[in-house]
Amino acid sequence: MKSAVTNLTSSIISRLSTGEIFGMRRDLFLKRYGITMVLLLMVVGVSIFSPTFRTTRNLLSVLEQISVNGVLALGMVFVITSGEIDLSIGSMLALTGVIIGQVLTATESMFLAIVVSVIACAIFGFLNGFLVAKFKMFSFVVTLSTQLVIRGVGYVISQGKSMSLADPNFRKIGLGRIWGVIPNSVLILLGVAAIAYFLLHWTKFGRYIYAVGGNKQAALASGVNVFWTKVRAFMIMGIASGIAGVILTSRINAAQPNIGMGYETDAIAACVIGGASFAGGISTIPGTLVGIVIIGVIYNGMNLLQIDSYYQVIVKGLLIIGAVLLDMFLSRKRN
Amino acid sequence: MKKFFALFFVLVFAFVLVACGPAETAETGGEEAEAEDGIVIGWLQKNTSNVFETYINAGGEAYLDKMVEDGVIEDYVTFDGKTDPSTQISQANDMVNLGVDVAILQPAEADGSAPALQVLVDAGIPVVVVNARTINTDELATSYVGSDDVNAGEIMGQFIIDTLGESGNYGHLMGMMGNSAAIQRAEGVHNILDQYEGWVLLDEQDAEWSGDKASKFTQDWIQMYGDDLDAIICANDDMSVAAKSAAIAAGRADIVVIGVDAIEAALSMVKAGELEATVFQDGIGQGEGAARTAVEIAQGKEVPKEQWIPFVLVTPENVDEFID
Repeated sequence: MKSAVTNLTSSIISRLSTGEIFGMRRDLFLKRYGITMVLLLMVVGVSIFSPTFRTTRNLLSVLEQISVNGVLALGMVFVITSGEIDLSIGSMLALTGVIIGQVLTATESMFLAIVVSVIACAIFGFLNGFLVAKFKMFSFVVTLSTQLVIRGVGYVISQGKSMSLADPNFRKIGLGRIWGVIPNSVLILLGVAAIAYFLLHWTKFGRYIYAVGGNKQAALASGVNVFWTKVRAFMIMGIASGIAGVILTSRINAAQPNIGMGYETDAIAACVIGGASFAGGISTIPGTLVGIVIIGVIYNGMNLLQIDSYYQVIVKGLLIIGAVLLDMFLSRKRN
Repeated sequence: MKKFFALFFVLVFAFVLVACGPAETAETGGEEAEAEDGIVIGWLQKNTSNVFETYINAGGEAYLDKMVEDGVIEDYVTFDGKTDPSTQISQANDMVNLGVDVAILQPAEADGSAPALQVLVDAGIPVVVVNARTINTDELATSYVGSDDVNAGEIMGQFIIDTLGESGNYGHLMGMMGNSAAIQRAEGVHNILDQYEGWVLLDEQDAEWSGDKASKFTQDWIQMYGDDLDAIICANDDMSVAAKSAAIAAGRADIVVIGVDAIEAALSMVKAGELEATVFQDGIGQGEGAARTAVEIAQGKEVPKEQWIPFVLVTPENVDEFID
């Protein structure tokens, strides 16, 4: 009886799944555009219930709001694709802020402040990657520890105090808009996305990342330098954290050693919702971008609909679980 | 089978987002905020989880609920800032897009939340800042509603004089250095006690708002100064509760201790006659004051630039009013 039901169901399912959507096999279509459909449904849903949501001004706000998390997620996707994770990025945001505070006050050079802080994050990214790749330590443990170290360094540099930034130009990075319309931070996000796309999808290094994350032994056997590939992935994450930190510091116009806590969750969530596999070796930059926008729409849309912030985190959590399940079902099918 | 599940989950996400949206909106009674009809107040809350913040939120929301009922305002919206300045800036943008008439801001940080105020003011929305100031509050906010921490320090100083007379020796446990509440409360204490030559400051320490540190300083002081130590003034109740407990444990229940905040532990000690007094910061009053001011601004009334909600001294005589 049970098997009869199963047979019946699976025959229906197989008919469904071998059907075509827009001339594409249904499973391929779902794999490639499933999460985009979710985003579209969300946008349509929120638009129906909140007229404010669909205004150009609000949609631009959403893009502005996702810029920090977006840059972080675009770095994170390299780390996750290489089969690792980085939990230290929240601390890096704070470190970036306090370094900018010190350098900007001491030298009054915005350029120097930005460069020094981004380099500092790249160095900590190198440290993360070195510990993970050299000693084969779990990246979860390594970055859980370095997040404390980095946060501590931030407290030492700032003496635990927050500091407001005097330079009015610095504020424009995160809050300014070109022609009063397009937020600068969105342009930074798009720039980072273009670079990430190029690196991950068009270069040898990008293919190495997929190779290392997909099958480390095979990558080793075919002569890929696993050590440097991982170190570079973590350095890219560090640089992305530095850039995100610059935007964040500029937005709040203050150097604060206590900011950035919990920011890694949203970055990881964006990657996973966007189709990156925690097992490594699977991800796309466009998918990640969709993941980033989904999280932005959750926050903004639910704010506009006056849904308690408690529900926002529940929805975000469910969405991550759903995305992982979706990914598992689709990859099992493929195998 | 797998395809079916895949499709199923996609639909579930969509359902969660689309279906629970309007249901929740209905529950909070909030219709879409539209500037054209009636007055809409927007409130950027610091957070919805800390005990003190919940008082401010509750005081304001109770007032605004009543205003909605009475038809004075159309509606109000609240955003949870999660104590994150960057989140507050995003939410300030959302407020602008919603087109609220007047906004209330309880800043997460004095520096970091300043751009949130700027965003609202740039969009032509008058703002009432409540409880703590951003660095640009004096310049940009239409009104500030808060309690003056100097006042709390003065109440403590005066209580010590009233209880122990015009001479004695005291220790002073301050809050975290650089924290404006800590600096101002200490200033208030000195405003009063420095006027009395009979009162000698034995030691003054930064106990970082922490009960643990306060307890250690108290033990050390009792060792060092013995019976000379008459009173300990603490910048908050975490410290006063710990200091008094340490004093009692050391057999010095006679040391007069006072703190600020009227937290539950302090109130129960005051009621039991163990702690001499605490000073209550009226969070509900601040929230209500901010909400009332916002409504007045929306109605086009003139409002004062600064409004002070007084601290209240809590002693065994009136402690029952503060215990729910």
